[in-house]
Amino acid sequence: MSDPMTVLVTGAGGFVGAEVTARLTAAGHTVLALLHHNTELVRNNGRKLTPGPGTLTRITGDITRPGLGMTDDDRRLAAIADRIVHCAAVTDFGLPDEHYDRLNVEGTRHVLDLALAVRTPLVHLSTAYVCGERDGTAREDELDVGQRPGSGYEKSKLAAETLARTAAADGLPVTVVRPSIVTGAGRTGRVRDFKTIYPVLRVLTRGLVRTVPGHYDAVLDLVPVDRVADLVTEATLRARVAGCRTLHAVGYELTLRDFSDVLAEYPCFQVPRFVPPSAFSAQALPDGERPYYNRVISLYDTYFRRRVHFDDTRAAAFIGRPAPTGARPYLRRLLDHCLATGYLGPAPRRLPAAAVRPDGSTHR
Amino acid sequence: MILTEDQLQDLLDKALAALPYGTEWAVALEGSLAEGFGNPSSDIDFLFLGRCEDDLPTMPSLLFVDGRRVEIRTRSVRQIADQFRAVEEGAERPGRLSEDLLNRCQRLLHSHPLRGHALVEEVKAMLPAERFGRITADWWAHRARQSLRQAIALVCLDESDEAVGWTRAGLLQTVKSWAAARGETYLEPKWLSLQLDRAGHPDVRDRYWQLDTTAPAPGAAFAPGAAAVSGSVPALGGASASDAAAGPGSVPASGAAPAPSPTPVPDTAAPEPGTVTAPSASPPPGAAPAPRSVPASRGVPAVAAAPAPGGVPAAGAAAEPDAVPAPVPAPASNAVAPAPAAVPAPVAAPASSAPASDAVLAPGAVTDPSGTPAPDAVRDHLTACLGFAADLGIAGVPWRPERLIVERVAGVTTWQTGERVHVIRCRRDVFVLGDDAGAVWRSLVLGRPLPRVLAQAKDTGVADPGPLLAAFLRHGLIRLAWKGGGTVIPSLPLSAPPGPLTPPPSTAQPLLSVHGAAVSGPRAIDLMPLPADRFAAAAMALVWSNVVVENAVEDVTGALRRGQWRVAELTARRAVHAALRGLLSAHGVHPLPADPGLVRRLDLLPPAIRPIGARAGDLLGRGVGSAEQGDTLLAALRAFIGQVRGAVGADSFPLSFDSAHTWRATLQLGYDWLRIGAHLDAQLPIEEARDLLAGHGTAPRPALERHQDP
Repeated sequence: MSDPMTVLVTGAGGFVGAEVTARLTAAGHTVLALLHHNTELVRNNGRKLTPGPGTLTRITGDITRPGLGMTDDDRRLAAIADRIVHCAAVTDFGLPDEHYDRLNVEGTRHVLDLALAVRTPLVHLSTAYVCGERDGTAREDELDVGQRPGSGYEKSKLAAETLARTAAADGLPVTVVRPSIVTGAGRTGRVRDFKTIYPVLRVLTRGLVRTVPGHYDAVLDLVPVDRVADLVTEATLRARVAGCRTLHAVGYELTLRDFSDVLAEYPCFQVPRFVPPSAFSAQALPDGERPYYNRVISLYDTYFRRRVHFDDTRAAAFIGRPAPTGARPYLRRLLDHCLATGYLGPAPRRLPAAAVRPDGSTHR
Repeated sequence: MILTEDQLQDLLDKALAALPYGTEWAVALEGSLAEGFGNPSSDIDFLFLGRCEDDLPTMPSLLFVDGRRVEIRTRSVRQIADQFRAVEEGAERPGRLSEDLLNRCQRLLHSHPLRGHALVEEVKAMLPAERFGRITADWWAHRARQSLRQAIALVCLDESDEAVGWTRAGLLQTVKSWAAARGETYLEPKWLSLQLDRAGHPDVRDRYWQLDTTAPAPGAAFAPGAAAVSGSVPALGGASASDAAAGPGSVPASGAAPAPSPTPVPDTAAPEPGTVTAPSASPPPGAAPAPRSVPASRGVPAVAAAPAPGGVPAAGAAAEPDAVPAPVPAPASNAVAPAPAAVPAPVAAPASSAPASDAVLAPGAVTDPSGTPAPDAVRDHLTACLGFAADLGIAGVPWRPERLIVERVAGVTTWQTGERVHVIRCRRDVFVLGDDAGAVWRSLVLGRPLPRVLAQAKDTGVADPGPLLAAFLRHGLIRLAWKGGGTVIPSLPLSAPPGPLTPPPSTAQPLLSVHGAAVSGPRAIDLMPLPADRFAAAAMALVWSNVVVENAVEDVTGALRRGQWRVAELTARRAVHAALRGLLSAHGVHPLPADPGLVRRLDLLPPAIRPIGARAGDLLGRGVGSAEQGDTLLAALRAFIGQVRGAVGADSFPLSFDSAHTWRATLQLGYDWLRIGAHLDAQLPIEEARDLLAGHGTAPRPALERHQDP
């Protein structure tokens, strides 16, 4: 085992960050967990993170502030870190641009400043969807090819990664890891946070929105959180080998047709109809559906339009494992986990008391 | 044995004389006679064993010798060795071990040598009797578990009749397993009574028969045509009456001679209402009062019209306070009632061929007003059988319904068009569900225990969801698994598992509307007479023809306004053809005939459609030379379309495309069908449809500009 390192992790309380932190301490390294709020670190399986054998030191900080808002003592501590892993970001859709700027762009700038000061190798968590609205293959070495970002979020991540590239050109060792859509663990489908695509699945399977603009051959790439965390951890520990690389942390490719066919296997799920975007009008949706469309589905529209494949030759070679296969079974595991936790499935019906017989049975 | 050794040797000589000369055979007598069973009409089954490596034919030769039917089978030693090895290997997977293989080996192992004793014994030694007994016992035990688990499920789902059938099957399989472990490995259930008599445990034997004969009856009491008995008390024969009166634990008297008797008595024979007495009424002398939990003795009517001489049992034995006054049972009837199809027929065999222990079975003794056995009685009987199985060492069938998990069946998908739910099985069979059946289907979260699934189904507000769930199960749309025990695959004794039910296809006409397939009622689970891909294609063609009709009518209107008479003629014809295509599609005709043949092919449709064909023919022949003619044609065209709409049900064509709303509704339905078709890789008019559907998100009007005459 290599000598224990000290790793500063921003966003250590986050969905990916917590898993990275757990892996680093499990490998015997010391983690300085930069936390904005005094949050408990919870792993993907829902349990509190128990670090070890390496140690975990909590540092209060704020990436939107220069110097990450750390105290002097903490800054001294951070200065001797062997690595910095920048996981902190806002990933919710539909927020004002200014919010993304502050957290994703400025936040990255502050982290880069910190890293540059001491030339600490940095692992930067971006997103595969910096590729923007285009079809075809997106390569790991491509960044700005004139694409149009699909959302304010993607735009901010593109800007952040550009900053990271600039810093790399200035001599800072930077490895960029770009996950696609991060979802539940590969083997079990378990997930800590029902975010990003999960609310979309909920709205669609409950029939709250039944018509969606999209192409049946559009592709969504779902990557299990454990694969992402593995890749980020590897990149951190083998920074010399990783060098100034960009790695696609991608997983299972699923077309909307795949989604449609798998959802149809579940009697309790409604399956949305996908209509060509040019034929779709949100105004034309029934009154009951429109609010759900506006608040949830519309934010995800861009993903239902793209037919993009992420080439991950470098990532696969680096970690020694190609992206997993078996997309439909993985989707089933995700869905089964959601059903088991009650996140998906028939909404519990509340019956008026009169409709319940004394023996507990109900009638219409 | 029924035949003496000399008789057998004599028969064998005569049989050998009839066979080709020259082969060296060892010969044994196998089958029921060799077991020590049989009767004058039993076959003589000879088995010729050849010490050779060949594969000998499996078909028996048939001879008639001395007025008896003689079957001669041949097998080589190598074949036997292969079969024994297959049995040993199959022992670990009793569900896969074929009954035929087991049967062949059993008959050989219990055969009675007649010639070449040394070879016969040598062959038998290849599979020791005790080992074979264990394998057979496990094989029966596996089947008993499946049947009993199935019965547990059906009780939970309120399918009492079928539950009883599977309970009895499981009971038989249980006792066969027990007997096999004691060397009674002969498989055919026909001789069970003799096997049990021989097995040397009368308590087990007696308990078995008691459970078998006290199984709650299916609803045969209300079978039509049954002999009516007027309200008088039955003249039950003395012995059988007292048998009937007995409570649990009593043995049906052997020798209660049954006279073959017609189906027991229908409701009309029930005593006058005034004589209904509650079960708590003082029981007549000699009748054991039956506590509620006792499986109802079938011999006891719930009510007696009047105390009768001879100790006729009366109300005391009725288990259900709200049981219908039972029809008066026909005396001493061998009342394994003509069962509904669900009750397995072979189970009836032991009763009918076991002379020693016919019970007086009076179906209908405990029934609820609908004619099915009272659910509590069924459950109680099943629980008793489960206890019996446990006592005999068959583990894995406790009364724990929560161990039954409702699981997904691969290849079953759900597709909703509008509000209509369709379930496709194996990508081929399309079931359309009525509103209630659809609601229960949609409530299913698979991978959960049966009680929870049932509770969730009840939450939908649909009455009696249990039988609907049982129907889904029968149709193979869902399956049951026993936690830790694999899929529940029940099979009747010596039958293969039935497999998913495929009902007669729906005869609804028209079959399809844009909103979905036609359905015969709220609880319907109807099978479409079309395979899935053509079903989707026909529906898509129907939607598409809708679109074309409306577009064409628009075109006619536009052409007339500009005085384009020829164009108006052509587009009017287009509209007529499109309407006919819709008509044929709605009746499930797919692929469609080419346009010229459309009118003539209406002869495929029900006769009521004829007038439409005549009108279509007329319209197709019309010319337009002036504005008046044009207007007349347009009016006739609209009327014709209205007529078509009427023939296929008003909602098959949307009322009008004037509003963006209805247009969009049709589009959405089109996409629903497209989604199914894409899933099935069906032949869809996708290329044509895509253009129009993609370009017209809101209204059909833009089609006017783009429309090209063919």
